[in-house]
Amino acid sequence: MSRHDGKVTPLRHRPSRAIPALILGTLLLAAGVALVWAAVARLVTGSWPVYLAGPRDWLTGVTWNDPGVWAAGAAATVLGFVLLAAALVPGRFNAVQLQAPADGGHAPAAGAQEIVMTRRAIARYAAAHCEHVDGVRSATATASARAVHLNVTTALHETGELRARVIAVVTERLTGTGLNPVPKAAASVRSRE
Amino acid sequence: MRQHAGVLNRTWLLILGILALAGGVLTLLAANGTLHAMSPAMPAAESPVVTGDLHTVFEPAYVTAIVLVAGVLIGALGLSWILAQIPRRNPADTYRLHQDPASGTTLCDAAALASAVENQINTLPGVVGSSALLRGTAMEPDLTMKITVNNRADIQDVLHRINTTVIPDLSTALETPLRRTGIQIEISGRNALAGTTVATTGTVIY
Repeated sequence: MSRHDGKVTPLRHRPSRAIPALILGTLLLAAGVALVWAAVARLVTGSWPVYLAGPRDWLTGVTWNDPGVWAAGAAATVLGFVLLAAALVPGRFNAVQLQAPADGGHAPAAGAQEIVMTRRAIARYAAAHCEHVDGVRSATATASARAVHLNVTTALHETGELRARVIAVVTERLTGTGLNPVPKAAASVRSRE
Repeated sequence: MRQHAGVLNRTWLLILGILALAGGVLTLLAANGTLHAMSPAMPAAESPVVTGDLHTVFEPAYVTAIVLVAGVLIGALGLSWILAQIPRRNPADTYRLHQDPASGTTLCDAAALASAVENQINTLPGVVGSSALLRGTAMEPDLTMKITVNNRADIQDVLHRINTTVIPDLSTALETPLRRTGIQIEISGRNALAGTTVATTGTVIY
């Protein structure tokens, strides 16, 4: 199967659908091994393996309006929709683009340039700067391409003002990194003694 | 940095999805008699799925050969699809820097250049670690970097230094501008290799 083989691919990409590909690849491999096994058994013993007798007898006796055929048709239709969804639903980007520094930052010695920050890196960066805000006891973050959500714990009873400060600080820091677009920050603050 | 089989997977999922959907829909249409109503040549809902004798069909020796070849092809397809899922770096092997081999050859290992780039990046303030990869050719090199910076680092400053020192230095060494550069930024809580800000603690006594 053809791969990129030395060609450059974008650092910011959508999911590669490795899990459905691995499942289908394993099923294809298993089907291939079963067919080879059956053919070799026929060559060695002179008769087809016993495990093929069941499907063969079922196919010989079954009619098109049999419940088993309905079930097989429905299963194949559902499988087809699932595979098409796996192929066509685009999925989320793994990273967000960063703008190169404006003051002579674009290297004259280079052509096209792609700078990205992964969603995990954005989450870590946001959580780390959130923990620098006075009043924050601990912080975790999750990030998508357009938003960062912070889960903050604090010893303060009144959390409204801290929430606003956390969002302001994180938004300022994310803007400073050059992310384009800047993910929108949101925070859930829990008061904990 | 590593390359995945995204396009390959989407293409094969699409092909197999269309085949499964078409097969399933045709089976359902045959099962409820719609196919027969549309064309009398198609089997009726009450007719058997297999009209002939399967014993006779599978009896000739050439059927065994067909099954064997089909099994090998399907198995090889499945195995190669599984192997294609392994993420690959696909680096350039060796850059050939000479113009005319008759007057001498100059070869440069792309991994050595990438290592030099990594060493230079690791000296920048705020950088925790880095990985560089060169692809393309000596005339049209592509540089891809994964740079892990400390969570307090000034990312724009790191990018500025890379664009004004690291990339021009590599370009000078290769005597050609880079065709394309890619930078992937990761964040770590570990201390930077150079230019680290040290956290201090103390007690204020009044």
